Amino acid sequence: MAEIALPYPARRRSWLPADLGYWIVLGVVLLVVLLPVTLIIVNSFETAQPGQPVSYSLQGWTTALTDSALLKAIFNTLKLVLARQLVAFPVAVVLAWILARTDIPGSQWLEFLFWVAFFLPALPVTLGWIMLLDPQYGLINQALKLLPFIHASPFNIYSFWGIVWAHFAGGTLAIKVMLLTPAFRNLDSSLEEASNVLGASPFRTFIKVVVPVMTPVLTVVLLLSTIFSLQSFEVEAVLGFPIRFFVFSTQIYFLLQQQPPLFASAMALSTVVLAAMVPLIFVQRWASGRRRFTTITSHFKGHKMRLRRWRWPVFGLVLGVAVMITLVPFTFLVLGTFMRLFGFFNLANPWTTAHWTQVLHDPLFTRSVTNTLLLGGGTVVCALTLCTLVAYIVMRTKFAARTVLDFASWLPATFPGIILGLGLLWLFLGTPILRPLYGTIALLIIATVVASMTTTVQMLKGNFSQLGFELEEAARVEGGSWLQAFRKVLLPILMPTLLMVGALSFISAARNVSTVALLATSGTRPLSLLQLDMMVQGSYEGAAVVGVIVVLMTTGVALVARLIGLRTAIAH
Amino acid sequence: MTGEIALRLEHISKHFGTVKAVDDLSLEIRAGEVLTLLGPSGCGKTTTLRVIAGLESPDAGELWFGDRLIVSVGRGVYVPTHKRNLGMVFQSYAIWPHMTVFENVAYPLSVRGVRGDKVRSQVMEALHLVGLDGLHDRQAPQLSGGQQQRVALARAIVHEPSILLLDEPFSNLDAKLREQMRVQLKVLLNRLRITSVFVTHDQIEALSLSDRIVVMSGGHVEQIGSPQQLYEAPATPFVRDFLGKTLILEGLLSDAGELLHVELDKVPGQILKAHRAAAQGTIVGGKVSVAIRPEDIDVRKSNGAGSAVNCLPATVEAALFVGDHYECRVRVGDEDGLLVSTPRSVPMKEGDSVWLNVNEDALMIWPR
Ligand SMILES: Nc1ncnc2c1ncn2[C@@H]1O[C@H](COP(=O)(O)OP(=O)(O)OP(=O)(O)O)[C@@H](O)[C@H]1O
Ligand SMILES: [Mg+2]
Repeated sequence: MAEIALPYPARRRSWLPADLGYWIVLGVVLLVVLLPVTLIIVNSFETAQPGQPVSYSLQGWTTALTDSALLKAIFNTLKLVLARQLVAFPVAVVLAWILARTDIPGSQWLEFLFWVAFFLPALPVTLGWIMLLDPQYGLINQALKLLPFIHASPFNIYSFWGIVWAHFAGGTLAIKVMLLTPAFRNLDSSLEEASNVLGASPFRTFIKVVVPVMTPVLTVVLLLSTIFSLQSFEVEAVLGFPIRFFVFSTQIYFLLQQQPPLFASAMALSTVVLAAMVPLIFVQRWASGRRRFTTITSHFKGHKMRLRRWRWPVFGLVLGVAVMITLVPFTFLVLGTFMRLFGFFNLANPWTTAHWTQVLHDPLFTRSVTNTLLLGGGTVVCALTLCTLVAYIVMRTKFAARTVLDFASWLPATFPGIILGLGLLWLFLGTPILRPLYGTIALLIIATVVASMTTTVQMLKGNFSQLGFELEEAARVEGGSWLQAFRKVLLPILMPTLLMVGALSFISAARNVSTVALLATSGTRPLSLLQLDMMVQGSYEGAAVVGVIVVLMTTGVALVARLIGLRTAIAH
Repeated sequence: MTGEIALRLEHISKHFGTVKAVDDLSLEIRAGEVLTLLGPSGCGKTTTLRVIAGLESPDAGELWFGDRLIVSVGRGVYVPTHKRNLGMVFQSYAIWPHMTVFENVAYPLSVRGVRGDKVRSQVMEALHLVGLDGLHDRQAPQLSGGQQQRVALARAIVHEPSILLLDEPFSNLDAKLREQMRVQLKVLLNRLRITSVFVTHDQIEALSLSDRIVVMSGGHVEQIGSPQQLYEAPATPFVRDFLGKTLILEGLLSDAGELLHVELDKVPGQILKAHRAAAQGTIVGGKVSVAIRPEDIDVRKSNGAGSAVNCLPATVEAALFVGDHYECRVRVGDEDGLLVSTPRSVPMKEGDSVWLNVNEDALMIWPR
C-alpha cells in the first residue's frame, strides 16, 4: 500500500525531462518550417550571391514589382486557379452528391476510382493527355480531323485551357470529390426529403437546400483545394514552358535557372506569394472551426434518393468521368512506352519494347529508383517520428508552447513546394555546418517531411483526439515511464493509422516534384525528377516508362494502404 | 363515419433485402380522417408512410389519391414525390438551418409559385395556427425542440396539402411537452380537417388523436377500427396485448345455457361466466384464455353484496402506493402475479384477502 503514495513525486521528477523533450521537438519544427521562410524574406533584400560578401538592397523587390514578366506570372497563377476552381468545383459538388446521396450502383467503387485519380502523380497523367491532345499527333485531334467538317486540330494541350484540363483531370476534381463525398454522406437526409415532399423537384432541392446547408463544408473544401492548386508546378512546367506561359512557381524556377541565378527576384516573388497564402490558411482554419449543422446523430438513417430510370444513365456518366481521369490517361501512358515514336501511330511499325529495355538498363534509372526508395523510406520514418511527437504534444500534453507548435505544423500547407525548396536550399547552402548535407538525400527527405507535415499531423491529431486519456493514464498508474506508456499502450492502438499515414508520406515523397526540384543534384535525383528532365529534353518515350513505374509504385502503396484501412475499419 | 376515399393502398409490398418491411398491405383512408399507423418498432409504419410520400417505391401494389393513380407497379405508373401535393412532419423535424422560420414555412408556397402578400398572409396564418406568432424572424437553429416541431407542422400545412403525413412527430419531445403538443395537434387537425396519416408506436397518442387506428405487425395489418373498437373488441391476441393491459386466466369452456362458463385451470372450483358474444371462435369443451382489462376489475375488501356474477377470492402479494391509487399484485388460486389497481380510499397491504369482481360484459374469451 505504501507504494500508492509515491506516484505524485515520481511524476514530478519525470516532468522536467519530458518538458525538455517538448522544447526540442518545437525547436526542430521551427527550424525546418520557419527558418527557410524567414531566410527567403530576409534574403529577398540580399543582392549578393551565396558565398559572396553580404549586401542588402531593394533591387530584388524593384525587379519583382516592376518586371512585367513577374507580374504576368502572378496574374497567370490567379487566372489559372480561378479557371480550375470554377470548372472543377461545380462538377465535384454534383459528383459528390450523386455518390453520397443517391442509389447509384457501385458508389463505393466509383468513389474509390476518384481516390485513385487523386493519387495518380500529375506528370505521368499529363503525359497521357499529351498523347491524346497534342496539336500535331494527339489521337483525339487526329480522330476528329477525320470528320469531314473539321480541318484544324480542335484541341491543344499546350495552352491555358490545356493546362486547366490537365489539372482538372489530374488532382483538382478528384481531391474535391474525395473530401466532399463523406461530408455529403453525413447530411441529414430528412432535410432533402422534406423539401422534396413539400413540392420541390430534386434539382430545386439540390439548389435551395442541399447546397446552402452544405455551404460551410463547401467553403472549407474550396479553400483547401485553392491552397493546393496554388502550389502546382510540374504541369505548368511541362505544358507552359513551350508556349512561354509562366505561373509564379515556374517563374521562380526559371529565375533560378538563369546564369547567374536571380536569387533576390525569386525570393521577392516568393515573399509576395507567401504573404498572399498565409491568410488563406487562417480563413481555412476559421471556416472549418465554425459550427456545422449538417452532421447527423446516428438515430436518423441516411436515406438515399432513388434515381429510378436515371439510375443507369447517371451511373454511366459518373463512371465515364472516373475512367476518364484514371484509366484513360494511364492507358495512353502505357501505350506510349511501347511506341517507337511517342504518339505516332501511323508509322509502318509503330510498336517496340526498346524504350523499356533502354530505360531499365540505364544506370541513371537504377540510381533514381534507389533514390526514390531512399527518399520515400526516409520520409516515412522521419515524418512519422516527428509528426507523431507533434500531434501527441499538441493533443495530449499541457506543454506551454503547444499552440505555437500547432500553428507551426499548419504553416507548411501554405508553402508552395518550389518556395519551400528555395528556402531550404538557402538554409543549407548558407549555413556552414549544414552545408555538407547539400547533395545528399537527407536534404530531400527534410524537404518532403516538411511538405507533408500538415496533413500528417492533422491525421494523427484526429486519431489522438479519439483515444481516451484513461488508457494512457492507466498504463502510467500501473507504474511506468512516459516512453513505456507511449510504446506499450498508444503505439499499438495507433498502428493502423500510422501504417496509413506512412503510406501517404511515401506516396507524396515519391511523386513530389516541386519541393525537391531545386534541391536534388545529379546524384540524388529521384524518379519523379528524372521523368521531368526527360520530358523537358523531349524524350517522351523514356519519360513515359519512368512515369508508369512511378504510377505503379504510388498507386500500389495507395492500394495497400486502402486495404489496410478497410481491414481495420471492419475490425473496429 | 363514411365519406369519399382520399387515399387507397392496394396490396403494397416493400422489402429491403430479405426483410419484408411492408407485406401485401391494403388500406383505405377517408377524406378528412386522421388515421394512425400503430405497431411495435420495425413493423413497417415508417416504410408505409414513405411509400405514400414517394420516398420509397414499392415492389408491388398500387397507390391511389382519390381517383388519381399515383403508383402502380404493374402498370408502370409513378408520380414523383414533389408532384403529390403532400405535407409531412419528420421525426427529426428537418427544419432547414440556413433559413429563418418565415422562409422555412414559406418554402412550400414559393415552390408552388405563390408570390408577394399572399405568401406573407398565409405564412403568418400558419404560424398563428401552431402558436408561433412573432417568431418568424428567428433563425431555425435558435429554436427549442417544441418550437421546431411546430415550425415543421406549420410548414407542412401552409400550402393546404391534400394529405398530411406525420412520422412520430412527438418522439423527440419530453413527456410534458409531448402531452401539450398532443392536445394542440388534435385541436388543429379537427379544425383543418386535412386527411392525415400519423405514425406512432405510442398507444396513448394513437388512441387520443385518431379517428381510426391501423394496428400493424410484421408489415401487415392486424386490425383497423376506431380507438374504442380496437380497445374493447380486439380482433387478435396481438392487438389485445398491444393496446392497454390485460390479465390472462386460462381455463376450459363449457356451455351453461344463457351464459358460457369457464372453469379456471389454476383456481380450482372457480368459474367465470361470460356472454356468448365474448367467445367468438371458441368451441365448447375447448381450452380457452380469458382476458380482462385491469380497469374492469373491481377489487373489494369484502364480498359485500356479492352482486357481481363473477367474484374471485384473492390475496394481496404486494401493494404499491403510487399517489392517486394503489398498484397491487394479487394471487388467485395458483395464479399469481396479476396486476390490478385499487383506489386510494381502500388502503391495501401485503397479505390482505380481497375479492375481485368482474362484470360478465368485460370478459373476452379466446381460443388457446
Ligand atoms: N432503408 C432501409 N434499408 C434496409 N432495411 C430497412 C430500411 N428501412 C427500413 N428497413 C427495415 O424494414 C423494417 C420496417 O422498418 P420501418 O422503419 O418501416 O419500421 P417502423 O415501424 O417505422 O419502426 P420504428 O417504430 O422503429 O420507427 C425494419 O426491419 C427495418 O429494419
Ligand atoms: Mg419509424
